Amino acid sequence: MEFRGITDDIATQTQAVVDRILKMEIDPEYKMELLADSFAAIGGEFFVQLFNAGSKVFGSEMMATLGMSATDQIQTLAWKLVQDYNLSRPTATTVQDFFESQLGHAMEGAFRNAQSLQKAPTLTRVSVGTTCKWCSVRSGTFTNPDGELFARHAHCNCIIRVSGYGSRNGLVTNYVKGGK
Amino acid sequence: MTENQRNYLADLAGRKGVRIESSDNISQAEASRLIDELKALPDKDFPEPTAEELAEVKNLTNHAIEELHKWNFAE
Repeated sequence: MEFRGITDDIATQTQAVVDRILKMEIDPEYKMELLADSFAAIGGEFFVQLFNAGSKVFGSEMMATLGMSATDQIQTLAWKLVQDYNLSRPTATTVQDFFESQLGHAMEGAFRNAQSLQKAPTLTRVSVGTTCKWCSVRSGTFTNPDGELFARHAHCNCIIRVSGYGSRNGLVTNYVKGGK
Repeated sequence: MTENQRNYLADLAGRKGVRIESSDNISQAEASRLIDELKALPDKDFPEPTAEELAEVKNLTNHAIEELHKWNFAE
């Protein structure tokens, strides 16, 4: 089961929020506050949704009801986005990295929860075609993965797939937009 | 330009209400000159965001969350 689609989609949706805030003619401190609020709201929902989806794949459903607690990360992110905007630098990679980081945190949590319930989830990371050294050292199958194994660099084509009781027994299939 | 200069320049530009174009490859000396130029400008007196702007940000944020909730496992 791959979660690249939802990660790319939410990064795109959030970029629209980021662009709107950054273009406002307001105090940069206020921009940071608005950005932090939006990232907390969207990032919190994303974390819960991905934790629950991972748990379903692993057959260890314990619905998360609380979002992440990443206040420091969000403040730093808001500051970086405003700084980059002031220097006319692109912001898309920063936004994408944030959601990949949250995906990693959510999956890491879902792995730990599944393991505590005696499940055996795995993460398989496969590089596609000629790959870089950064991806090569992260390729393989992992039973106790660090959340950072979900990270991608720009234009990274690695397949990052999780599996567990739910997916192995056909209880859940592809994760798609417009699913049931 | 050093990282400290970059951070300072970005912060200063924000306070002055200007955006710096093409600053990625400038030298430390050029960065210093740019910083001095910006320092000479008055701080910008920013307006508060309007209710319409805040509503627009809220709507975009809510829309992103709605789009997120459309993702699920296939039938």
